[in-house]
Amino acid sequence: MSRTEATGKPAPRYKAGQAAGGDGDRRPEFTELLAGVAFAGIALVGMTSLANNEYLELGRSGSDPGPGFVPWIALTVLLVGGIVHMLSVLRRAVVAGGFGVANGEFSLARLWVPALMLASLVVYQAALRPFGFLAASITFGVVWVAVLHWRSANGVRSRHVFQLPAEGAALAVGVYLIFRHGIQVPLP
Amino acid sequence: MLTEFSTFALEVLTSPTLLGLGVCATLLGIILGALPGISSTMTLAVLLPFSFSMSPHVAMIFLIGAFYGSVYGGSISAILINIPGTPGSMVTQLDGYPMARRGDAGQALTYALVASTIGGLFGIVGLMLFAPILAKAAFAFQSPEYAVIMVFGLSMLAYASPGSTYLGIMSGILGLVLGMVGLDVVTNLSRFDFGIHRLQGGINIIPFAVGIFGLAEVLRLLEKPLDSDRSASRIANLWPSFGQIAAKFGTAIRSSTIGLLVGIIPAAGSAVAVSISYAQEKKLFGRRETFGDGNPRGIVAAEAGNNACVGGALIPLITLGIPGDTMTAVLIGALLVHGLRPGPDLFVEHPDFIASIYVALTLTVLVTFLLALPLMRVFARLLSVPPRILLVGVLILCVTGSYAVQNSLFDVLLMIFFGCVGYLLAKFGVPTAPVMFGLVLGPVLEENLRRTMIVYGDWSVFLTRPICALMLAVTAIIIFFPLIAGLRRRFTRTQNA
Repeated sequence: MSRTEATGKPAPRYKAGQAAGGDGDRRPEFTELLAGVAFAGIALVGMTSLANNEYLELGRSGSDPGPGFVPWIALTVLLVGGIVHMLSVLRRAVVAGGFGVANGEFSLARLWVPALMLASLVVYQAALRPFGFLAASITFGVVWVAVLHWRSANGVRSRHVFQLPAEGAALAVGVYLIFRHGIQVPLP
Repeated sequence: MLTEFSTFALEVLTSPTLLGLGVCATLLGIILGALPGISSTMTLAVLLPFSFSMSPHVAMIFLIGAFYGSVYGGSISAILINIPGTPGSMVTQLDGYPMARRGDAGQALTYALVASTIGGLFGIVGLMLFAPILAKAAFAFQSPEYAVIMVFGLSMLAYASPGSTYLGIMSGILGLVLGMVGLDVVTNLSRFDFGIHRLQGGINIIPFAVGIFGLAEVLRLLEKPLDSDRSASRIANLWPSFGQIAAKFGTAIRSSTIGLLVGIIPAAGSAVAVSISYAQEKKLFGRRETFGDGNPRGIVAAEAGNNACVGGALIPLITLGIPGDTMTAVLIGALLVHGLRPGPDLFVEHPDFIASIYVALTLTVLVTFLLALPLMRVFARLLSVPPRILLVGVLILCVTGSYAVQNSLFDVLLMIFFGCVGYLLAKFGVPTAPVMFGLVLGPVLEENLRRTMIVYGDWSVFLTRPICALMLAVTAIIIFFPLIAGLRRRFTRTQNA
């Protein structure tokens, strides 16, 4: 495990000066472009929401700003910043002769487990009310403990048939006991 | 303040419940901090929902215990298995792991513990000395100063975040926008609710923090098969001689001073503090001693700086409401949940609460020192807990904790959504911590900006008030320095070519 992975921080792609006007020797990665697209996209969604509400006025700048005043400023900066970043990445790509070789950040081999996890969390959330906390959490725990054990390539032995479900169930029951009886949270 | 401190300290020491909570929180923090992949921020985010049912004072004992415990805990995995549990312990592994490899793991852990304790106590003294002074100065601030300080803080936080400064600033602005979701405080009009009435109350900080720091980190870890074969070095021979420890005392004090000062700077954080502390000692002793191959001085420098930084990071938090780092941003979230807005007013309106922070930190440092040594072998054994148990446990905690805040399944969905957002942003190379800073500071910034406009009726007030003008100048340097530096490098290269 690398240091970056261990600390959970995003790997520094490039430091000060390399965005929006920085140097352009290295081929930029396509994901850098997506960052600009994401910011500009979010800004556009926000602007549409503001524009569709006639009550969110800008007000008078300098004396009586309305409820839309600061949001419009922030969204404009976000939009312009996102576009500038996209242009900067595209310019660097043109100078360097294209985008860098993809390092597999979005390969299916890396993404399928996180994607499956997100989907299963949505199902887990939806199952909490109809099936109750314990049943939903035990199912989630047992399945994922088994999946992660299988992924760690440690091999499945006969003892795991009992051990893995027991681990998953124990985790769910442990959390239930802490919240329900430890800090008196009414769980579904 | 001394009276409140003594009163609350006595209350904690005579209450088995509070004392037990402090001890449990510290041990929990050490254990979670020691586990690779579980950062201090993730620890705090996951434990944050537990504090919701506690009173603010008790919550501080719990959260600060977990916070400081995790900072110390990071050194255990750094020394024993060469994987830093937290960013602040990245430098500890440089000398700690080689010591462990040559059979001195116990001594390396003891050096780390003693240095952590000195650094932690130094941080507390610094906090108690500087926080009231800064708070007193902050009383002179009015809405223009607060608005500018928030902009300054946000820029510093974005600048110091790992990765691109430019994207850090953009990420902070995204956080500002998220902070505006919900009812406007002046007009009571709803903004960015997209027809979802539950969003009118704004984005709850707990599901947000749990998602962006907890779930997103787990998703990143799930990308690759989990490594379950971790063999920790054996621990024997815990104590170095007193003379050996005493010889490093100067290093501990110098590094603690650096850690404290760096901690005060918003967002500079522990990684910066330990790097400077280590570099300083290398500069002083580099000719006589070698670093990076098991020099205890390297461990002492890193750990003293790392732990003193905790006290330093709390100073801007309680005096100005600006988080010193990501962990303190989560702590601000906890204060807001309890209806407390950090700032100089806390010193007047809730001196007992300020005292509880001092007491909580002191208790934690002492508990860590007294319990870590006898439990060292237990902590080492915990490193071999299979990652599948950790991650599934964290995920169930993320879901349950988010639900528990308001007994709302919508909050769980919000947590999943922000986990996904945090995961994608990290994949795009965007630092995620500034989003949290923006979410926390955004509403304060907007409120003060609009109040300034209404009261003074003119933008020029930001240039005519000296503190505002100074802060704006520094902010402009922070924002434009990377751009100017980049252009200058290009110009120099063109000239050379």
